[in-house]
Amino acid sequence: MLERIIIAGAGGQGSVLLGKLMALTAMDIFPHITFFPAYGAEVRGGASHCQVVMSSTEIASPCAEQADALILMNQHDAAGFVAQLAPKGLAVVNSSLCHIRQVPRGRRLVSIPASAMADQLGSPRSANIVMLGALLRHKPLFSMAAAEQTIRKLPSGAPGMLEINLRALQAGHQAAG
Amino acid sequence: MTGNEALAEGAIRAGCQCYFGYPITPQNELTAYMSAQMPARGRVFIQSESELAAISMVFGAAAAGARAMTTSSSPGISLMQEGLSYLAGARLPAVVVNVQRGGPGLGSIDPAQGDYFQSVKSGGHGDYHMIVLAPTSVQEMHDLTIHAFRLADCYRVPVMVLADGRIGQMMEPIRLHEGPPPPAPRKPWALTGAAGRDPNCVRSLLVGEGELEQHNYVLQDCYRHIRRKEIMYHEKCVSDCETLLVAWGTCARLARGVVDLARAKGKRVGLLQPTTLWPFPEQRLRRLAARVKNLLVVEMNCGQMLEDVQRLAEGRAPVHFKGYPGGRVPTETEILRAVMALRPPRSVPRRKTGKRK
Repeated sequence: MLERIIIAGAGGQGSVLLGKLMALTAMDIFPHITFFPAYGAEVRGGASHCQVVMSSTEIASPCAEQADALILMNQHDAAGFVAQLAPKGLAVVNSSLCHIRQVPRGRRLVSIPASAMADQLGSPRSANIVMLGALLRHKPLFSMAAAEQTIRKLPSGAPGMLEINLRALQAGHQAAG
Repeated sequence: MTGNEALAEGAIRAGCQCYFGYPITPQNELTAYMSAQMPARGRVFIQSESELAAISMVFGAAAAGARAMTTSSSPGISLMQEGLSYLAGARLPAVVVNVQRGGPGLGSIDPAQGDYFQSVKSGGHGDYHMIVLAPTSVQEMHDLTIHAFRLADCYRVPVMVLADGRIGQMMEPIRLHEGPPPPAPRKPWALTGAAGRDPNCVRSLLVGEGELEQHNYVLQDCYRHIRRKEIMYHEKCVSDCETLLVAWGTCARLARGVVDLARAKGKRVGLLQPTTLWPFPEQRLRRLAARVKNLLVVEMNCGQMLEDVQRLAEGRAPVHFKGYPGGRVPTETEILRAVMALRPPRSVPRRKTGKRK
């Protein structure tokens, strides 16, 4: 089994963190996992993306040329990433900041206003977790409970952040139904 | 764990007592990990004021008999060349890590393999060598670092772990070394306080009549010994291959995938992946070059290990090259295309000789 996931966004949107979170959670399920980030020199802003490859056999190349799942946090180079979607691939799009409305034939598209939803929950930074919830609804790489467990292990950050993130996960999961 | 963190944890488990470093992307996770872990385990961590200071601190710690390490990325390693030459001249064991990025100059923070020449041909002045180890995975970042400390102490040479930004920042699950650190040999030459014995002297300035010449012969003897004993490499599908890929580090990892893809298309492809770039697996390459139809060297530079492969192939088979400079990581598809485009070399037509009657 092979799952290649690309998460793309702007620096500060938590794309790289989300990739790490997914890699850590999947470690109990897949024997081989690679994760690698690609970001510019900026701490905030600028393009930032990462790739997670989960496989039942040895992973030669950690760079996925095609994606079985794509999470688009913003518009930057969105069309380029969509072109990388493998047949039957799934694109989850943050419609608050990304205007992709269709994907090539044979691929699936799930749109949710993740940034707006995260804003309502009290933390715009949790948009990445909303997206994870939506992805898991359509591509259960691992259980929601497993995702929750990893989120609980994240550095706590601001007070109340953990609760918001847990709600964001559920909200994304429900909204993507 | 990221490759950088796995390397750092490897150093700690190898008994590294002193770490000195100056931050630079793409190896910052390494320095950050050491800054938290070394003091917590009662060892020395110093964020130096520069790379020059870091390598000089390594010199000092190594002279005092400690297991010491510094890490940096390409521009920082350039700054350390003087210190590396001094370490080699003074016969001091040390581990130096280069998580390469694009160059020349400040270049970029993207992964690259442009420092092969600098590492294996000794970038500092004088006739010296470092042992150079090239990891291809997060696990190897961990394991080869432990091995590097063993080699450094065993031969009293600086050992370089030559990684790149891709392997440094990549995360993979790994198995951590659980055993004891590599045994530390006695260091009767170390500056440990001269109470009850004659003072030791660690230096690389040898101005007595013929002294430096003799010292160089000692170094060369040591390098010969390393060449005989310490060559490491991996192979994949070489027994029946017609095309031999030669690649190291990140490119070797990509090449492993390409071997499978090309074989699925019916092309008999194999891979030689040197783990020690110095000493290079020379004999092995010569032997393989004598029985394949084509060699293809793949690197993230404009042709550096290529020159060693050409030298060793000695015209037995044509050596082709695919290079990606300036921080670009190729895809498997690109390399596969280059492999599939190779044709058996046209053989020189032999003059027909009629049967003697």
